[in-house]
Amino acid sequence: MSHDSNAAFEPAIPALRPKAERRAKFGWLRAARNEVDLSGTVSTVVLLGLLIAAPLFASRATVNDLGQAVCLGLFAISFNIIFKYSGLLSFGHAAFFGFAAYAEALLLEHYGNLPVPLLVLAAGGGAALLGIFLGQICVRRQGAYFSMTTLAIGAFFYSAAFKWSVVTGGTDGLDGFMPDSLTILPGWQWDGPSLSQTYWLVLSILIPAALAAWALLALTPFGNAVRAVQQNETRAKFLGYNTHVVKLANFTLAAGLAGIAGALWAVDNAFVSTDSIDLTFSTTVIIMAFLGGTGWYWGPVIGAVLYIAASDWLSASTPHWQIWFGLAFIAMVLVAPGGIAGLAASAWRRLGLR
Amino acid sequence: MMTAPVLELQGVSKGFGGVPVLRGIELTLLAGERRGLIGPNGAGKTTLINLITGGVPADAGNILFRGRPITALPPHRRNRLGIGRSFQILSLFAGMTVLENIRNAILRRRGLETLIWRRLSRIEAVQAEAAHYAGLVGLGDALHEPVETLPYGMQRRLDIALVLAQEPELIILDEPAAGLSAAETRDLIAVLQAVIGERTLLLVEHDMDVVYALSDRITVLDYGRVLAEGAPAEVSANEDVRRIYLGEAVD
Repeated sequence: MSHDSNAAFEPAIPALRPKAERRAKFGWLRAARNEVDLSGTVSTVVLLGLLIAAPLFASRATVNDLGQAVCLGLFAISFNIIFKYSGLLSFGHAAFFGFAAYAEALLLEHYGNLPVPLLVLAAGGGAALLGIFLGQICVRRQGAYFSMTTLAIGAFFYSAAFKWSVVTGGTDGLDGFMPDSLTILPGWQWDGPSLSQTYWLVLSILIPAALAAWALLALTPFGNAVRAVQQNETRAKFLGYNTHVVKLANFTLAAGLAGIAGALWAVDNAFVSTDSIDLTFSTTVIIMAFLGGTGWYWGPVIGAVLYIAASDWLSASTPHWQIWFGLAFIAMVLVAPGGIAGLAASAWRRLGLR
Repeated sequence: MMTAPVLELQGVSKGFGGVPVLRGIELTLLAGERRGLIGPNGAGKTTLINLITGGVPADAGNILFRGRPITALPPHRRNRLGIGRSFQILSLFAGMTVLENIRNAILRRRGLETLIWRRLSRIEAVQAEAAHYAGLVGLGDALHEPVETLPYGMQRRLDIALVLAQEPELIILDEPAAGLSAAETRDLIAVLQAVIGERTLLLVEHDMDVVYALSDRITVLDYGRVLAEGAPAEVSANEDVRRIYLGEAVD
């Protein structure tokens, strides 16, 4: 991969020269980044290690918070898969999270003897199927029309959960669905699992799911197609890409991931209510994603962690903590639209190229 | 010399908001033919390209590609049959490099564009092929440059590389020299003469040097109708054409 410009080419593009020189100096760094963002990989590995080891050194309350934060984090990632990779802003993403959370609760209640991972995948798969169906309706629309359609879908699912109380428990929600003994794999059961066990169970499904979706989007031709369609849908069409199918597939991926997050949320909390499917929750996930940073695949997780931390610390001192959280969101959008991940990335870039 | 028609337009019409833009267009392109399409602004040239490639639906008439009706097919289906087009107003993947742009076309042609179980960077043949097409249009030294930093003339060439990389049977170029300097236009003519080969070409262009250098037949469009058609010499001798299109440029 040489960047030597030959004499004939060089004068045509003088503006490129300083960059090319800089590139030669940091060629190895750039080469690594081209493929897999280096800073991203390092921080991902460190964070994942800390996350998995948390029950060994952190308090019960922290582990409890972390369990919720990772579920919300995956949910926020799934929202951002539609936003970052397809350029579409969903106002109804909680429909998939909530749908799968209720589905998981009902599955655990009725098929509690089956392995939990299987039930989680079933609930996530259900959300993905729902994504194919609802995606047909909304991904053909652009901009505000897409957002309005998803808003309507979100409102519909919230009403359904609220009104259909025979199944969903209405305003009371669902609880008591966790079996006394959790089947992890056939023949491997945990009786009255501890907080740490449940936490690790959640992580054992959540981390591979998040990594698989990342690999799909970052490394494969499919991920390339999604980016190509987002950057220039018209050109992609005239190059033979079925752009509707590409966007629908990405929407379905996001719906499935949101479903896995919702199902794990049900397992983690042993309680599901309309809080996990209402329109407020659909906007909360937008705030989490933007606060954390929509430009980086893992950015929204930062927002989810902050959200949980804020709900813990701020809510102890003021009942109006969401106002402060909302103000932080507004400030972030105005001052640093790349979110916290964006701020960190620009700081890293400055360090890396000095 | 093959003589089977590659593209046939039979009585194709199109209007926007009740205003007719194209009226009963008849056009036949034989295999291997290089056809220039000229006409004053507003004659309907870009609309005609959009009708052929599927950008807008026809109001009436039939469009056949290799004898097969394509009038009702969406753009991506027509492209997959072998119709590749460039754009008058540049339409590239602005956030990607030269190589990545061309790769998008190659992945699609090879049917690999939605694979989910292979690493894109490990599909070596695609990278090599993308570099090959970049080289064809003189972008071999700019493979890893982001499109945004490329000078305009180079972006024009990349547009053509995207079309070539699809190996289409019919190449449609919509004003490939638009916005280029005289020197850049001469380079472009040389590049196009070298790369088009035996493919069928439909070329829309205002720059008559480009048209004469690359076409063996010319169709003149005026107010949505075919005004004249023939060899370059015939067309430039045609009284109607001289009067309506070439105008004072000839006198």
